[in-house]
Amino acid sequence: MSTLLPPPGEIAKMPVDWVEERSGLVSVGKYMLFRNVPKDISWLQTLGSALVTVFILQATTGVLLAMYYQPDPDTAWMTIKFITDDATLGWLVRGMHKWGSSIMVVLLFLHMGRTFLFGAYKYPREMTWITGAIIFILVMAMSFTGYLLVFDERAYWATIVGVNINGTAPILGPALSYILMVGPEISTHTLSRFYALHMLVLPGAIGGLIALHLWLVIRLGVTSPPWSRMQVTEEDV
Amino acid sequence: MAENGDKAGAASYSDVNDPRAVISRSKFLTGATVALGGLIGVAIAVPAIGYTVGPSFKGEDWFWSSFGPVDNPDFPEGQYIPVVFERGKLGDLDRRVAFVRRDGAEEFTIMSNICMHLGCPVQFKTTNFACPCHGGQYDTEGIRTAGPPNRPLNRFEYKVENGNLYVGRPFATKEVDGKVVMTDEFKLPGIPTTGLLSWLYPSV
Repeated sequence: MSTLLPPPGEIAKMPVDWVEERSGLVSVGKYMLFRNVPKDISWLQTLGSALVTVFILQATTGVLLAMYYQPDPDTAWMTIKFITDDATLGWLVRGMHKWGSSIMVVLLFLHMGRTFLFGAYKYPREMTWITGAIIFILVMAMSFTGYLLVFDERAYWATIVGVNINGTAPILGPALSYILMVGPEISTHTLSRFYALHMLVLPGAIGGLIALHLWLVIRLGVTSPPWSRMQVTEEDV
Repeated sequence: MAENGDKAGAASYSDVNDPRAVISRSKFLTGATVALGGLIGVAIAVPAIGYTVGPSFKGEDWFWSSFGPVDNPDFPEGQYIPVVFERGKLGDLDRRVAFVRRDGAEEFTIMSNICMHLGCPVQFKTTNFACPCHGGQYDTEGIRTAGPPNRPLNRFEYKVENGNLYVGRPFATKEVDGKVVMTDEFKLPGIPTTGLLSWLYPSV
């Protein structure tokens, strides 16, 4: 019998091989994780990974919040209060989502600043920069739509000010305000619309763009810092 | 298809053995698939956009709110009195504040409390309206005296019926020669009603 069974190490590898043989996903993962990067990169190049981590955190805590939250003007704030005061560890979930949103914006600025100052947006990485810029705009929209959902006085009036700022754009501004509020004033529909944007449209778009952004990063590789003394070899070109 | 237009007079070709005269099966199928896909996309996108945007421009539900008897002594002449009322059917969300000033037996100035900078609520302070958000200031006629607002405060339309005062919709106002003139349309805060810039903001 002992001759029929492979050693334990081989048995543990079997499911991995099964997946690899049918999908090639294990090689893809290995290629992503063990690809070559310049010798002189530093912690500054990890801001992007940090952003992906915060995005996953926001998505997870967002799903958890959605399990109790109701986007209805009469009950929205009561459900927020329930999450904060009564739900098991609800204060932690809500706190992580709230602080995570601020951290995401801060990291985004740092990541963008690093890319800009290192000149890492230059050929052939323009598309990486452009997709990143769109993600930046969408994250701003996430912050704006998420702010209303708490539906306390601050959320209400801040959203009025925000919508009216949009409204001061020439030509299309007023129409944009009406579309955002579903009419000339904040109504029950405004809350549902912001909720739908915040939990379905925007995260879906951001997730897709992150995938594209990462594909470009892996395909094009990471840039050395501008002060790099590394020699460019034939192989690199 | 592009091949058809490649040569001038292509329509006159009748030789099916000439590769320039015919579209290959695979090119035709590719084109047909793309065209059909595009058509399906448009058929889904157009109603979806209409569904999303349509209700935004339908106008709102509102009704005449009764402010009580027109000869109510609680509305003294020449003095602003804040009134909290509901101007739609959404309860809390339709709650508004108007400042009512009696100008005559059946004449009133009914000022909206929405600041024309970015929409915060203003307060009345004996001689002026003041906004807490960004410091907008208005005189007793609602004309801006300081801060960022770019037009006078909105005013509500009103009517007197069977001895009762009714208040309707808020309308934009504009300043003409130092006097406030009510317009017949609603405009969001931050949108100018006079001058060249007002041309940049079409009515919705």
